Amino acid sequence: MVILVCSIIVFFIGFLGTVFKKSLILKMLSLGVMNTGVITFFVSLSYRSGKMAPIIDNSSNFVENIADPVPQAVIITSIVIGFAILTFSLVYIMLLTVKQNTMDVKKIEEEIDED
Amino acid sequence: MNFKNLIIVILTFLTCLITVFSLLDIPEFRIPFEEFKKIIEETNSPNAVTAYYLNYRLYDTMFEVFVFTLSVYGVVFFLNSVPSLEKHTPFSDPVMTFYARFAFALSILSAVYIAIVGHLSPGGGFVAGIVAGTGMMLVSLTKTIDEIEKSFKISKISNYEKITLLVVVLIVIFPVLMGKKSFQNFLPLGETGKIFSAGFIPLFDLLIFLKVMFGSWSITFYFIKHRGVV
Repeated sequence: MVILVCSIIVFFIGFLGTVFKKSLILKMLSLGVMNTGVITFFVSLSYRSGKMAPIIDNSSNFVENIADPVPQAVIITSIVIGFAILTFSLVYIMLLTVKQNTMDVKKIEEEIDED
Repeated sequence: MNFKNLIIVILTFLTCLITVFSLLDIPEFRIPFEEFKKIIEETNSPNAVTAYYLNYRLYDTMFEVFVFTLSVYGVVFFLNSVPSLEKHTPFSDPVMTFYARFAFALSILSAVYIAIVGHLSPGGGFVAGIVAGTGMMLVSLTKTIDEIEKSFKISKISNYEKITLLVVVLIVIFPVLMGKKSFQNFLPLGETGKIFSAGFIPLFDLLIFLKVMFGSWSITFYFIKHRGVV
């Protein structure tokens, strides 16, 4: 339960970062923090029903208190995808800063309005 | 802090509180043991998480692999429009060089192990690919760009990556030719607990391992090539 609450707090910390930080790279890193919060939320949701990993060993045929496998299966692909999307957006930000010579969102918007 | 920012902080805090309190009376879901046993008997893989994401939810996993491929191609495409650095300065510290190569060998070994026993123990293709990609990144920090291109042959690796994606799609469509539905397991289930069992789950684990390893490796290679080590 504590981990569940903490994951939601981490998610909203990341949300505040995306709203208040002016640098584009820090905004993207805050999106990464939000991603971590969501992953932790799903993992702790499956942890509620039991503490054992959902794997049957050869030696012990009966396992009690199995963790729910469905939320883990939903979120396991998202970790690698999050890494790939984050690098892609970093490359895009890099090109934008080479073109505009600044990383500040407000300055970029002003330059676009002037054109 | 002006008035607008204060409103945003208060609204976020309230939303956070409402979300936490809505979770307090969530019913405790427990998967029945009979259901669990049925999953493992149907797919013959003792790891239930792998049984879910490579058998029941294969449609979802296939398109996640597509998203990964697309973002890797995006990184390569956009970085190719940036001029590459003229002078590369890799780490020349002998201790760093030795341990990076040692860690590379160790990580490749453990990644292959994690990939092929993904249906028997914790692990799987995605995790193994990231482990191997990290090892490759470590060793490429200590070499110059020409050495990396010579020893890893980046053009061949990008060809293998495309072939891997094709093979994934072909395996998914192949059961239609045998008179079954697509996304259905067509290989024999085998004996529980052996490496060659559980139908096509080890095959997909290996393919996703190759895909993620080549993808993360080409991302780090192009970053080092165009932006330098540090």
